[in-house]
Amino acid sequence: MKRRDVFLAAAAIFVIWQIAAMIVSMPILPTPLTVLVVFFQELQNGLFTHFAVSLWRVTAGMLLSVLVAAPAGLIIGGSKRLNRLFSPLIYLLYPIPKVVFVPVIILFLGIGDTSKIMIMFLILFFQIVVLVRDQASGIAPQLIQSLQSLGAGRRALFRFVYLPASLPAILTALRQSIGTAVAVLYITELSATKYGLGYYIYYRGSTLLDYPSMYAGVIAMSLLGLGMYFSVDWLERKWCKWKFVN
Amino acid sequence: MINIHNLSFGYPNSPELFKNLTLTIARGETWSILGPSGCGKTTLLYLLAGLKLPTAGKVTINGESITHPRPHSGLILQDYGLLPWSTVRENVELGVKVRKFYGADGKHTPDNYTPKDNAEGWIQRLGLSEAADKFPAQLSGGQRQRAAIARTLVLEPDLLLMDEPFSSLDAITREDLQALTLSLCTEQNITLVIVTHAIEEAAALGKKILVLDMPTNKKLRVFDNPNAGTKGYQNTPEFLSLCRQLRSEMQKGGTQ
Repeated sequence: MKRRDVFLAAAAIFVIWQIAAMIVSMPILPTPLTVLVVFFQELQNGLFTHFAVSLWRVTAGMLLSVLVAAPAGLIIGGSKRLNRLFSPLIYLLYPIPKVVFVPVIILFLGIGDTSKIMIMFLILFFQIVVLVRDQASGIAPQLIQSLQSLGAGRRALFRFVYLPASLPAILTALRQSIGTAVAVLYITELSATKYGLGYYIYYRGSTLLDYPSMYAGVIAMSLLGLGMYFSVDWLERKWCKWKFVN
Repeated sequence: MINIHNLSFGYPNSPELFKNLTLTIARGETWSILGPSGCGKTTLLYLLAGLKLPTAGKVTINGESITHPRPHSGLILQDYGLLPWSTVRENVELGVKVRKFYGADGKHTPDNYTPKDNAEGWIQRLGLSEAADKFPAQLSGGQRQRAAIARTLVLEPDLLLMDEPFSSLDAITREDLQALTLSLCTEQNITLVIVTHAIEEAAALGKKILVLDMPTNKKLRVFDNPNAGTKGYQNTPEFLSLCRQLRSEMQKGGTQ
């Protein structure tokens, strides 16, 4: 994704937004210019703190998910026996909407960041583990045999084959998880906190009816997701150079 | 020396591929294994490599029973087995990295192994210097095969097992790599066992040619071919006559 394309897309969204605001002509849909002015004012007025808190929560949730789900996916995908054992369990648990556990998790882990990170972890874990498992189990047997002939046992296969082969899948899973993670972040920040973009958007929009500020929060949340997309793209270019050669 | 003693092997729910086969391959010999698709030639190679285990009988190399891949055996597969995410240099160094990963444990790495940084030498020797920083996807078929050969020879094997290594190459590249493989094996005193379905290739490379039939193989047919690898051999009447004989043997085997 090129930066120029992102700017063009943002410009297109602003144009459509401007037209819609002019047609609706109500306080609930302010013009993008009004929102942008408020956005920069609000940045110095606490929005940046909300952004930073949300960034920490979503990054921690995603990192924890990757650190646990990627090795689990590699181990399950690397062994037919474990795959047979764990796949039914994954398929049973995957479709359950984990958001329903929010009250239970808050009850057990309290109202701090830990419960919010844990909810994100529960949702992202399954997405990542399934993608990485599929990648690991789909590695060509010839590649594995070739490495075995060089003396590689199970540990070396994980280090030299399964992990690098699954890295693109891990990054794809991460990329796919960003949208979910930001949406979950919003839900977890609706209650039991006074910081975070979810809280900011809800409080400004539903309690204070300050719509320009609410939209400024939405822009901040969008930038949070965009920054994460760019970070994953950067990691992919750095770690998966072979995917970008002709 | 490789000894195959009363070897039997079969896959579940399929006819047994081999039954009570016995064969000896001396150090430094070059063998071609020839046969139609499905006859078990790749399986035999995997049994020699220790990637599959016999259902009865055993394979020994230098007196050691083969129950897992042996550090002194090199295996080169049809699709080269190069890691797509590693450059040529990283691929060539891979075996050394695996050995360093385990240390000299006698199982994955020879007991007396001391790491040698000889990858660069083999990269140069096989004409891969300019391609050293490229990924396999950027290489021609011939370059990939050279990289696979370099990766194996870095580990100083005494046995080189090749599974249809030249089948996807053009004629000129194939002949060039066949000659290179033979000269390297002679120079390093490496035993070569090459699997092929191409009669001409089997006759050009193997001083001994083992012809397999469709399952079950109960008796091995071995043909001597002492002039294999000599210059101009492929243009001699003797070579053509051997090819005709091998073709007839394969047809006989296929209709059994």
